[in-house]
Amino acid sequence: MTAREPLGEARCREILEVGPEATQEDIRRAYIFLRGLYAPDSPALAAPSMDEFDPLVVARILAEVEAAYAELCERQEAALPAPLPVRTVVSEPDHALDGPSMRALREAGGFTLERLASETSIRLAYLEALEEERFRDLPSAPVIVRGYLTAYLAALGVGGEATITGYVHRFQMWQGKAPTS
Amino acid sequence: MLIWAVGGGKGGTGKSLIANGLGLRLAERGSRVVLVDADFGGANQHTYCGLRHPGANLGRFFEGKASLEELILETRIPGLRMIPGNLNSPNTDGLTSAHKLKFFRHLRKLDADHVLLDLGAGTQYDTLDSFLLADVKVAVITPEPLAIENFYLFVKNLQFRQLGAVLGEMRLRDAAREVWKNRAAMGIATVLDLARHMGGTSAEFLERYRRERATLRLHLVLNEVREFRQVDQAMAARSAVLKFFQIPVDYAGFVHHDKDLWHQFGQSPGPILKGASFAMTHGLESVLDGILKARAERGLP
Repeated sequence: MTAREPLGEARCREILEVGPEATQEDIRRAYIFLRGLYAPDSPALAAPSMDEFDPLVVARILAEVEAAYAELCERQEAALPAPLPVRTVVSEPDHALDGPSMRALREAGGFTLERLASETSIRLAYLEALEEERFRDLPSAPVIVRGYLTAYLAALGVGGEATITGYVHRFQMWQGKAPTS
Repeated sequence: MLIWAVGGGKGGTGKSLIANGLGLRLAERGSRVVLVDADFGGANQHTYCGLRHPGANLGRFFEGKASLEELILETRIPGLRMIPGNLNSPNTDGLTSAHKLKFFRHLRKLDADHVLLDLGAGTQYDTLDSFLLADVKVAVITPEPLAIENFYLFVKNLQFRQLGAVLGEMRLRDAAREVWKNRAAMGIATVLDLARHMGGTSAEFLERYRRERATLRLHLVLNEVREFRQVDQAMAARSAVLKFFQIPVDYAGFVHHDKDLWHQFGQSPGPILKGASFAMTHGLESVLDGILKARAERGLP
């Protein structure tokens, strides 16, 4: 996957069936819909025996949808404004990242949530949910949560790829247990 | 003048209702409209129009005994006229392609702004050809797996029929038939696979077929909606036709199920003249707007 050629913004939107005016939220909804539609044995396709609906073709479509969404998310992240220099030197977290340690990091850096929201373009409600680990109130795609965490730490001037993985993992474990809604 | 076709595969999805509703609204907006009941095996558009004894019908045209103009009847809506379907002569399976071309040639000459064809169910050649020849292609489905499966079959048959027509025109039909016979060995499973293969053998065909394919674009209407979340099924169908058949689909909108509509048939005047429920009326308005907007976005009248 790492050596994959980028699809380009226009092609990604075409695959996700959204127009140029679609917001990140529209794109997320389209992705969730298509991911369900082209899931293996999806009942929503309604034509199981037609040659066109070959499982291999369905799998290829699903892979394309995943790739297009991941690429659009990466592009969105890249488009975020560069973080301002941090006033206070913050040490990197040396333990697994969790809500309370994120808040501690932020406060040590002298950031309010509002400031962080404008730095990262992440909605205030999501930032609060991240810090309080209210997984229910976060976007359902782990890739988005990962993106938020990356942006959060980057705005604080902290790198922490390894620590993000732990958080995302817990989020996904929670999703596995949570009732689907 | 624009020719519209309303089709979609399964019977009972409301093709006649949608054709009627769109025609009525176009007339209300000031256009001169002719509704043509082209459901050769199951004509009933006259009943929607409140005409109980329509008299002469399309059968007379195919027998060469009347012109289309002579068959046109007024309805009680100013600007909305109709041509009743074939009620009295045996079915029209035997229509030749010369008949069909003549039919379309004469439709184009009608003195109207919009001619709406109310097509029958199924995938008979008559139905497919009429649909393919229309300028505005409207497909009606209901939120049921059976209707959607038949819709996919309708789309597949449209694609096959269109490819066949181009192959015939380019004198490649026999060659294509051979390829199709041996398709398993050649890794060909779908109509598009066959088209791609034939395109590899003839650049001329490829160019011609590409032009023809560009005309195949559907407006999708979801009828009989009882719950809003059923709209997802139209979105699924739209996506699947795009992804599996590579045919673009513009979702035009949905029409609510009207539990009292049945009651208005058999009453005078007919159902469209008495008016349906507000929800259904609103749905038909938004479907018409959806179709006109999608066309305007592509710079079409």
